[in-house]
Amino acid sequence: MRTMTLILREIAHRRWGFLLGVGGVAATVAVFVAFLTTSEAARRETVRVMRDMGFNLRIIPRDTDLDRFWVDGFSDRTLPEDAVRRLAENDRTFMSYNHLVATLQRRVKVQGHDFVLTGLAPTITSPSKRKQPMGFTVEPGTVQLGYQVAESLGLKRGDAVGLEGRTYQVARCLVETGTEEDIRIYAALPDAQDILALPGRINEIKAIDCLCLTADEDPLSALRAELGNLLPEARVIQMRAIADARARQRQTADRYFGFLAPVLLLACAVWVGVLAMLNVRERRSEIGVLRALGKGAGRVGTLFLGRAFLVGFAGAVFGGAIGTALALHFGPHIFQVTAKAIAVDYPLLGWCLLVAPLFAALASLIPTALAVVLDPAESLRDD
Amino acid sequence: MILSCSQLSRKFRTRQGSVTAIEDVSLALAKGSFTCVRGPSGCGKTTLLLALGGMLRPSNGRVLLEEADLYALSPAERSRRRAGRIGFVFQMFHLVPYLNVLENVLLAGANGGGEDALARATTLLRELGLGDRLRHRPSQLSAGERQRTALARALLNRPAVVLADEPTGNLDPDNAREVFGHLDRFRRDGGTVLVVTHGDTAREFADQELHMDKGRLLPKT
Repeated sequence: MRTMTLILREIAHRRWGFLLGVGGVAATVAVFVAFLTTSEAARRETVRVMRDMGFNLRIIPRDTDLDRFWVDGFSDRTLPEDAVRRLAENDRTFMSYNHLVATLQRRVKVQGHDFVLTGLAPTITSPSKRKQPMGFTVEPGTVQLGYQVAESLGLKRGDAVGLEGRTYQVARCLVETGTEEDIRIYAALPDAQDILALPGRINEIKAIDCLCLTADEDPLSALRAELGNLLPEARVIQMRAIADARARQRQTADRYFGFLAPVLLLACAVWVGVLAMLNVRERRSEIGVLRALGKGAGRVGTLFLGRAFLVGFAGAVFGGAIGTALALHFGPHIFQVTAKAIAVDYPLLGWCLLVAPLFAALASLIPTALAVVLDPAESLRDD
Repeated sequence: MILSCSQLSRKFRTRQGSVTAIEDVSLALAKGSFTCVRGPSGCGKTTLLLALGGMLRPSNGRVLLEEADLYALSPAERSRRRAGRIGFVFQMFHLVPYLNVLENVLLAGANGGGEDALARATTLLRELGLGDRLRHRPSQLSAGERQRTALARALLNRPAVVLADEPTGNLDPDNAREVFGHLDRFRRDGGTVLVVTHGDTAREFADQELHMDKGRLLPKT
C-alpha cells in the first residue's frame, strides 16, 4: 500500500482533525495575505499622511541670528543657490534628508499690507527612490496667494498682482490654514530673486528627514553631523513635533505587524503541532502495527510529515484565496485614496503555497519524531 | 530450530523501581511446531512474544531466528527479517480503521504489494471465510472476522513463524476454535506457531505446552 494512499485514506477517515489543522493554517495565511496585499496601499496612504504634515527640517545659513529668525520666521542671511545642488549631488544626502526645496523668503509690502514673499525652487528628490515631489511648484510669471493675502488684496485666480514693479498672474488662492502660511505669496524662485534683487541667493532649504528615528534616538545629532560634512556653511533646525509624529506614524504599522506576525505564527505552529500530537496519540496502535509489519522509521515519519504537508498546502490554498478576497473586498473601503494599489499578489500566493506546507511540516516535527521513536512494543502492549 | 532464545531477561524501569518482566527464559521452536505458552495475566507472556519477534530488545540473552541473532542485526535488517519471516497476531487485532479488509492485509506487503500480494491476500481471505468482506471496514466486521483479517495479514508474506498474543482473548469459543484451526493449518503446511494465552482452547492444537509464571518458564511436568 503506497504511503500517499495511506495518508489520503487517513485524512478522509479523520477529516475533522485534518480540517481543524487546515483551518488554523488557512486563518494565518489569510491574515498574512490580506495584510500584505493591502500593504502597498497602506504604505502609500501613510506617505500621503506624512506628506500632508509638511517639511520638518529647515536648513538655514549658519550665521543666522536665531532670535531674529524666530521673530521674522526666516533667516536674514543667504546662501548661494548652488548649495542645494551640492547637497543633492552627494550620494549620502538622501540617506538622511529628502525632498529638498530651495527657498528665498523676505517681507514685502503690497498695497500697504505686509506679506512674506516666498520663492520656491522645484523639489529635488532621491533619483533612486523615485519619490513624488512634495508641496507645490509655482510656474514662473505666476504667484499663489495665501488665504489672507487674497482676502486683503481682494484677488482671485486669474487676476494680476503687481510686485516691485512687475506683474504676475494669480495661479491659485490657497485655502485658509490658520498659520503664517496665510500671509505668504508664493512665487517661482527666480522670480522671487528678481523681485528681491537677490539673484542666485536662497535663505533656506526645506527638507524632510528620512531617518525615521524617534526623539529618544537623537536624530538631530545625526542630521547635524551629516550636514556639517556636506554643507558646513549651513545649520539644520528640526521641527520636532512633526518629525516625531512622522516617525511614529511610520513605525506604528511596522511595529504592529512586527508584533502580530510572530504571535500569529506561534499560535498557528502550536495549533498545528497540538493537532499533530493528538493524531499521533490516536494512532499509537497503528504505528505499533506498522513497525511490527516491518515498516521502518522513514515510512512512519513520512506518513505524519506528508499529512502535515497536505495540511499546510490546503491551508495555503484556502487561506490565500480568503486573504485575497478579504483584501480586494475590504481594502478599497479602508484605503480609499490609494485603493488602486490593491491587487491580487500572485508572487505572494506562490510563496504561501511553498512556505505554508514547510511551516506545517516544521510545526509537526516533534509529534512526528515522537511517532518515529514510539516503542512499538509499548503501544501494542498498552491494550 | 527456527526460532529460539536463551537466558532471555527483560527489565523495565518504573517510578517504583526496576520491574523484571521475564527472567532467564530459554526455549526453542522447531519447524512445524505449535507451541502454547500459558500463564496468568501479567506473567510476562506478551513481553516474551515481543522479544522473540524482534520488537523488544531484551536486557540479557539472545534471540535466534533461523540462526541469525536478531538483536545483533541493524534495526533496518531486523525490520526486514521481521516483515519477511514473522507474522504477528494480537488480541486487539490492531487493524487500521480507515482501510478495508483487503487493504489491511496488503499493508503487510512490501512496496504496495503488487499483483502477487493482491492475489495471495484475496486467496487467504477467501480461505478464512472473508471472501465477501473484502471491501468492508474493520468497524463493519464481527470480532471473529477482525481476528481472521489480522491472521490473513500475518500470513501474507508466507512467514516462517506466527507469534500470536492472546489471539482469541476477545472471541467466543466457536470463533476461537476457528482461529486456532487456521493456525493449525498453517502449522501443517510447514509453518511454526507460538501462542501465548491464559485460555485453554489452544491446548487442543498445541504439540508443546509451556507454563509461565512471574516472568519465568516453569519446568515441564
